[in-house]
Amino acid sequence: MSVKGNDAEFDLERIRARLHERDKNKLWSSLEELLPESSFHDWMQAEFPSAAPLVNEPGRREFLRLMGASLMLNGLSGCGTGGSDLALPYVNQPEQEVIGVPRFFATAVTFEGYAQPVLARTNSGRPTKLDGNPDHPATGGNSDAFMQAAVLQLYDPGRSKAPVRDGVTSTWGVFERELAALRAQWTSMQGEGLRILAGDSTSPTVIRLIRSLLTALPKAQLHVFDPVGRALRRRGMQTAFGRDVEALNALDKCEVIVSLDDDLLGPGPHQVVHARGFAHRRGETAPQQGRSRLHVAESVPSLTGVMASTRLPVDPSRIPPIALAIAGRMGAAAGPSSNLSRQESKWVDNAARELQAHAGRSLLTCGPHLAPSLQAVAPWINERLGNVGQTVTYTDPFGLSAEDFGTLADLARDMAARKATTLVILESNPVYAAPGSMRFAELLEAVPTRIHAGLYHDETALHCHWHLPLTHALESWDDARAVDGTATIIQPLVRPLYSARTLPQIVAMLGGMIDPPAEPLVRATWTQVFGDQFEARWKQSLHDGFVANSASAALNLNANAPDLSQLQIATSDAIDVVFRPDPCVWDGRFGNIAWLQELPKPLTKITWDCPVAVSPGLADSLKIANGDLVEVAVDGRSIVGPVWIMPGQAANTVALFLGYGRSTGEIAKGLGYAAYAVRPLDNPWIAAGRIQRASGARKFATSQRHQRLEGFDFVKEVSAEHPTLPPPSPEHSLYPEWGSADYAWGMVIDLDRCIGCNACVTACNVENNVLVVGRDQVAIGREMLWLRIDRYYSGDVENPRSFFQPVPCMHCEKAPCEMGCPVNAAVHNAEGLNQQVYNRCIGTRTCSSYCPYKVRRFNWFDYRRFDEPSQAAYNPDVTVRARGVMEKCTYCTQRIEAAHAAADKEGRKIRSGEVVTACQQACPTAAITFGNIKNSEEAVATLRRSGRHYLLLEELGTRPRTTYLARWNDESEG
Amino acid sequence: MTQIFSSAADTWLRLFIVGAAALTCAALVGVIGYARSDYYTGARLHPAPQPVPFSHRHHVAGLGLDCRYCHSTVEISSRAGLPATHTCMSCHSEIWTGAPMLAPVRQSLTQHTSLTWHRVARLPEYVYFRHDVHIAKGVGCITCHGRIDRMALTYQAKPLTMQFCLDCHRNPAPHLRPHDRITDMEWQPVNARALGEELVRQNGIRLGEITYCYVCHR
Repeated sequence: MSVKGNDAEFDLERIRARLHERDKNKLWSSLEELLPESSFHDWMQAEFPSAAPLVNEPGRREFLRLMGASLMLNGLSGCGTGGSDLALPYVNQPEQEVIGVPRFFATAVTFEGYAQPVLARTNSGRPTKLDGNPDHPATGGNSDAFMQAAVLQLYDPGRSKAPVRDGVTSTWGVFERELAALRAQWTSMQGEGLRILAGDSTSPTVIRLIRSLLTALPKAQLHVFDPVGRALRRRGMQTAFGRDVEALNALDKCEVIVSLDDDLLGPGPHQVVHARGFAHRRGETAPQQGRSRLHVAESVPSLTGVMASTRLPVDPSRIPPIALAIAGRMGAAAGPSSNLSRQESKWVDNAARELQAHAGRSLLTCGPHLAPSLQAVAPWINERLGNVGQTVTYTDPFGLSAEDFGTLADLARDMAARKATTLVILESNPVYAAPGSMRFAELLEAVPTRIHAGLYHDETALHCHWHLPLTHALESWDDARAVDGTATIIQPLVRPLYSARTLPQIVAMLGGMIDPPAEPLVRATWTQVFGDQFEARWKQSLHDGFVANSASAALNLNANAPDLSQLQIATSDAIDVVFRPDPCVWDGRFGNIAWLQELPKPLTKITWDCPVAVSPGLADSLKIANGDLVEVAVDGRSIVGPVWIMPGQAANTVALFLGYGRSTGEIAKGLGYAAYAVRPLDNPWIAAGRIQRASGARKFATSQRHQRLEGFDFVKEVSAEHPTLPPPSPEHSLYPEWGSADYAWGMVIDLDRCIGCNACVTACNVENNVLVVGRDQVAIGREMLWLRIDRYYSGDVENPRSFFQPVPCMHCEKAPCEMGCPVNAAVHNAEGLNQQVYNRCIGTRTCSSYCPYKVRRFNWFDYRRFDEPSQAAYNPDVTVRARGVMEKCTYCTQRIEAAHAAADKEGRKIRSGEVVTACQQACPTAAITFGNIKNSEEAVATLRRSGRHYLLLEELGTRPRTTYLARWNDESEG
Repeated sequence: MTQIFSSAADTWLRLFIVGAAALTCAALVGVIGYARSDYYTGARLHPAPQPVPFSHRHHVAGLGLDCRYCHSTVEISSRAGLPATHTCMSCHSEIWTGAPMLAPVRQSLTQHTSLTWHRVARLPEYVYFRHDVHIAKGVGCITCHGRIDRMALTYQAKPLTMQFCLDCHRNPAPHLRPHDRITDMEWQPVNARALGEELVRQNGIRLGEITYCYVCHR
């Protein structure tokens, strides 16, 4: 039966039939396109899909009227006086500050308590771009989407600006007077009734201050709560080793990686380190010449699954028997027996065989959301294989240690028993993120004194007597440790924009200090470490962006044999409901960053929303299509959300994504559904639940079908049998030859390395002032992203192969767009750049309709923001485009011109590797290479000679300068 | 039946057509003329109102200060830089300490607020001009800023239109000078053409490549 949603149709049987009759290697990108009568094809055939609503909705006459009026007004929109003509010099120019020359500082932003080391660019004293710190031992200059977008959070107008008491703006002085009275009480009762709830932290200063507070007030109690966090990982490690340890994987040393529902390459604090290591054995490294193989068994498609050599979609309830079977092969005492399906046992055989064949150079990992007893299997197997110390190392935990604190559930129990008289909530939002059945808001209301400190006046702040604004990491003196334990001293790049305090300052205030300045608190921590070389080492650490040799030492531990009899193998007929952090807003903390909201999610390409992801089989049995509302019930609580049919998802699995359903935040509120409402108390990641259709539907703003190419073989593959593609054939052209210069810029994108993580897209947005257009505009195809990542599937819907393909402007040597422009606003330069001149463009959009790669973006409205403080985030070296002009990727021409200027001043040539585009700089897998293709020594020229090199839509004869390297298909090789 | 049109109607029609055409042409000439005139470009018009009636004539021609004493970043940054209040006060804490004319400068120092100048040489915001490269390649201050040493109050001396920029970017040789003459207001070349061509070679000017859009627009 065919089901028609508001926007989509779904008919599994016919989709299967259609896939069966096509070439199985042919790519498809959405389920809708596989049905001939779907609205998808109308969209494809429309000449200007993004203009269609203009024509359809107000009627033809209205359209003509509007056109006439806008034609008349058109000339006027070009007029304007330009910006202000005021010039304000310094009163006293700071040393080394040169207006017009950016300065770089090493510091860090934090994510899940871990440091993300950055090298931050400041223009005239305001941070405008963050990139990884290239000298850092763990991350080596790479970044992820969250780090790239952190600078926008600094300038978020929604941040809280002053202390608030009972909803009324107050001052720090008033707070400190009240705190003094509270402290007198706490001291007299040794802290009885004082409860502190915080997110996990690796900051030595925060940990030092909290410990001294708890020593002074021994009856006070700390609780740690992170909606994602490493709570289950900690318990898994305790099961394996009897104590908590941090595990750090070295994927660069792995020949074989087996992942049991562990999204190694997916978003999270370890993403950069994992992706960097993983990329070492990809790309030009051919199969059987050191290339790693990755076997993934997972329930919900993830970035790791996309990169897998073999991928097994299994329901979460099937992970325990699979882990058992692998452990059994490694010699574990037999656990409860269970039958694997033929497919499962084939995958297990293969994975186990390869693990053993590469003992010492292999790795088995278990997802951090699996049951602790299951997670404990991995350390034991890795020890048996001799991988410990090679591909995985264990170190002391560098956050708060588990003995120091209780959990959120402990706190809820104490609150219910009225044992908590004062609750201080530090950088945590439990009213929003606590499991719904805990009824945290009600419990909180019963606590006599409630204090909240955070970046935003969020849901929790609304329920507290006091809200204290925290500084952003870029305004703070603080410290934190990266995932390898290397500490970074966080230094402020800008004075706090608002009346806010750092987290260490607030903890110190609780400890009795009166208005403590921020820097000495951090200095005091490091005085103990640096000893008598303090000044020198402090300066060096600030300069380098990390404290040298502060990574944790590897521990020599023996893992306990897993007690497999503990493993429960569920045999329920209910649906497995799993929870996952959202790839763009994480647990909700980034919900107010518009760039991240508008970032298409890697696999679904949905923006500004979160779906209930279901498998095609489940959708078929429920008779639902994309966008239809469904009700998901767990333990008598339920949420309603729009469904997304996810090719490759395990048959009986429903995935809910955290981070949406906010009720505060100008940008975040009202989007998506709140998965926390149905999150169970005992196991926060997996639950048994029911799903049923609800009435109605919601249209997703998904960019999946936008900017589609017409042609074939967009993504090419090579294999060990056919390791090379035919070289591009020279095509004759009637178009004129362009002048030539010393440089010919070109870019090569390695599809074998791209993990689709979106770091490049976010970096491009920040560097090039790409504007946010909002949900409604995205829904009609008007998103502005200069760099999009196309996602393709091939094969069947149950377990397709998936591919990512980043598509920036191709900078064609024979560019069709240049032929179309009536005012010569799209022109070629001698170095091969396809220039778009905003001040010439009159907005006919002809270039866009001529562009076969669909990489041009049009400013339908004035999307600019010139309010304080948003405008401070703009890169001053790039025009902020106004309404009515076309724009596109420029190969970061401002960076090319800066290199030209530097070289010209010194009378030399631009050095190889001197120009780095924003996307290239951000990419954690080095999938993007940019440079002068005329210089045969440069990496980009070498890659263009690779056997995997190909042109996108080569048959059109556009001679693109952006080219691709084919992906290896190593599914079959052993 | 009477005639609808009088016998003069043809003449009126012809007159109207010719008149309309003449008006259109005159309007076009007017608009283009205006766009190229000093009224539009702002060149040589009255100086902008400034908080302090600063005289380049007095400081440059009279006292002989080098441009770079105040515009100190001109060789290392895209921007020449305006002097910080402290730079003004390095002299004016010694001389003219009580001059009423300098009250805003003293006020800026005591209240720690910037002096608010009005820009004289303004480029549209989509133009990314760099001072440092122009100086490195031998373009003197006078080329764009005119005889600043003769200005009692500063005004824009050159039109600073795209045409003005392109004239030089297409054929830089006549506008170049040796490095030690960049700030010199009096210098005249002996053999302009030969020297210019020599400087183009010496300074490695990328002839033909500096007229592409992305050099200045991005």
